Amino acid sequence: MKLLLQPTSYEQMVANQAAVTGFIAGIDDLSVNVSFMCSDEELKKLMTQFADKEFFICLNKNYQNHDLPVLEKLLSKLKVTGILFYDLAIVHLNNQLNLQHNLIWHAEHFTTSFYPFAVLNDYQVKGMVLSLDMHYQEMIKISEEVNGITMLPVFGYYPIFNSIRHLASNYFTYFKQPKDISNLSLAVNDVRLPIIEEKNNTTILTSFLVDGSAIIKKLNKIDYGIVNGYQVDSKFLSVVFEKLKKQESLKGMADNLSDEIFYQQTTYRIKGDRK
Amino acid sequence: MKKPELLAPAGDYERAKWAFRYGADAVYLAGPSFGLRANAPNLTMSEIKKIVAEAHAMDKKVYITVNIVLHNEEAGKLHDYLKELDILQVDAIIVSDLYALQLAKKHTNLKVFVSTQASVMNYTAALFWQKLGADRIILARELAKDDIALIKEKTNIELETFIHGAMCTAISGRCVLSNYLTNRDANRGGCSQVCRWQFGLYQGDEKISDNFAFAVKDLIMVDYIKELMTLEIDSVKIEGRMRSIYYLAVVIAIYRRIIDGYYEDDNYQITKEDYLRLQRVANRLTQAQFFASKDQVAYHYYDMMENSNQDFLGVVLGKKDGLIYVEQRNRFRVKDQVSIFGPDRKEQVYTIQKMYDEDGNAITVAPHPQQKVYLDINAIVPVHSILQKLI
Repeated sequence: MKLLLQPTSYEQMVANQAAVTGFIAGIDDLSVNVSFMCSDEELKKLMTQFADKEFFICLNKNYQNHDLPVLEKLLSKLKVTGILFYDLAIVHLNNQLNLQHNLIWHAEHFTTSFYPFAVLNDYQVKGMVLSLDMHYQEMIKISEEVNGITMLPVFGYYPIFNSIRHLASNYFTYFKQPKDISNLSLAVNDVRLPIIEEKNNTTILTSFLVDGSAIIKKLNKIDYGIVNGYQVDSKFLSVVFEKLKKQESLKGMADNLSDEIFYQQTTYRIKGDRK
Repeated sequence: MKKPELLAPAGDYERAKWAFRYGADAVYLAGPSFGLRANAPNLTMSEIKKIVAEAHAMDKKVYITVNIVLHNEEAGKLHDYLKELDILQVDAIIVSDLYALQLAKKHTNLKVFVSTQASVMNYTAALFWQKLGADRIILARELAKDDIALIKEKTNIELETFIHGAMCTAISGRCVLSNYLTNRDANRGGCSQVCRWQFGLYQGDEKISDNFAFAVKDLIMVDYIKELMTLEIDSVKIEGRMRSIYYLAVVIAIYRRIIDGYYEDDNYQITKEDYLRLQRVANRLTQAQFFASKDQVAYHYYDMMENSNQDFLGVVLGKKDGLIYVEQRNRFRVKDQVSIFGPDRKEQVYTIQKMYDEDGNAITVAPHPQQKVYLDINAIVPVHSILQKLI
């Protein structure tokens, strides 16, 4: 499994470049919950500097009409290894404008099955980022069936809620409190969930750092593992890469690691059995 | 100006009948599988067959939600289910999954509507769904009027929009709080409405609030129906497959009246009573939100107070010897003035002159839920009329 870093800073990219195949960055105003955002010009410079690395752009916003001209312009000139996308507008533009981008379906909680990917595959979508909302055995099955690139978040905080509302600012405004939206977390059931408000949205993350180190061996058919560097200590991040590469467990090396997410099986339940 | 379809929720067979009775042109409901409201009773296939036949006899429609996010195991079972729905001649299915759309289009004659769960917010995404063969898009609930107008202008696909009921705080489909905090998969029918909880809020290690909240008010579009009709929206939808028959009757009847009113008269005036009833019926604060205003702060429901009322007094089950036969829902007594409205009638006020129990004994009060009583109101009102408090 090749490893990609979704960095939080340029320094994190430099520090971990030897360990990764490539990077994932966001684009100003067109991405959400991507710690490292840049303009297309900045991206070009980074691609020159890290010329031997793959560069993926995460365009994971739900676009509104006013975003479309900016999006179209960007897609027309962007030259990257691939684009991780959420909104199907990107597929349509890629086809309509004959752009030939390597599109990777990254619809967070929707990518729980091989079948919809097969539909998108007919429209030039080349791969998918598997959702973590399923048991690892389902992930294995999908990775065996997908005729294309597969990716999986293997380390770091994982988004479990996204809204286009400004949830923290709205609250502070209503209660006339100072509007400092930095470093916030929700407390519930003895856990703390990071809540991040950005210009266009609010995201809530898992209370734990997803840790796929112990299970990575079993998921070896997946092409790329994604490491999210958000709020990960720089020294520890290098340990993370070392362990992931050796397919060794990180268990016990930090307080808030959890691999439970890979063993959770959600079921479709209905009230009673009324067939 | 286009007269849109008035589309109502139906959590079960009985509620589907109530929805039609009170003026819905179409209902949406879940069958035994693949719907996003796992806690609603939902309908069996034989109930779907029955309600489809009844709806078609009235020139009305039935749509089936097949809008869970599919995992491989479910996707494999979907083909047979869609075939069954096709045989039952349901008018459309509502999906969020691309595979469900493709399967239905390849193997059935079903119309396919794109669920709001897919969060279509722009015309280019809408065009993609259109290209895939979708017949209608149920728009995301975060759209302003201008956004909807532009999607209408740039596409050639039916558009449906929500007009009343609960809103998700998150972008639909992008919230799995329920999975992680209550072990119920929101995208597979188990949403436990975590967004209505109160939380502690920390900044670093310092607690700055004990009651941080981000729930939002319910949607109410009563003031914008005329604008939606001018935009030529094809269908307007009421949320709430878990809601009571009272909620359905009140909300459907009022929006029916408003749509018909504007269609017949550009200067139609919505009554104060209709405003009030819509605001009280769910016991929650309401607001039009994104359609009409950018003031996000006002969308929220920070006080968390749901002001319970006992407006719903009873349902008329029949008549006998000049009396109406009523099943009680909230306490009422002799001499009370009550408002009664029915499938084809606006509210009218009556005074309960006399009341009798089922054995014919005169009584003065009906205190028990589901108690059946006979009322003398000096009038006979149709079966399925509803008694409510005056407001």
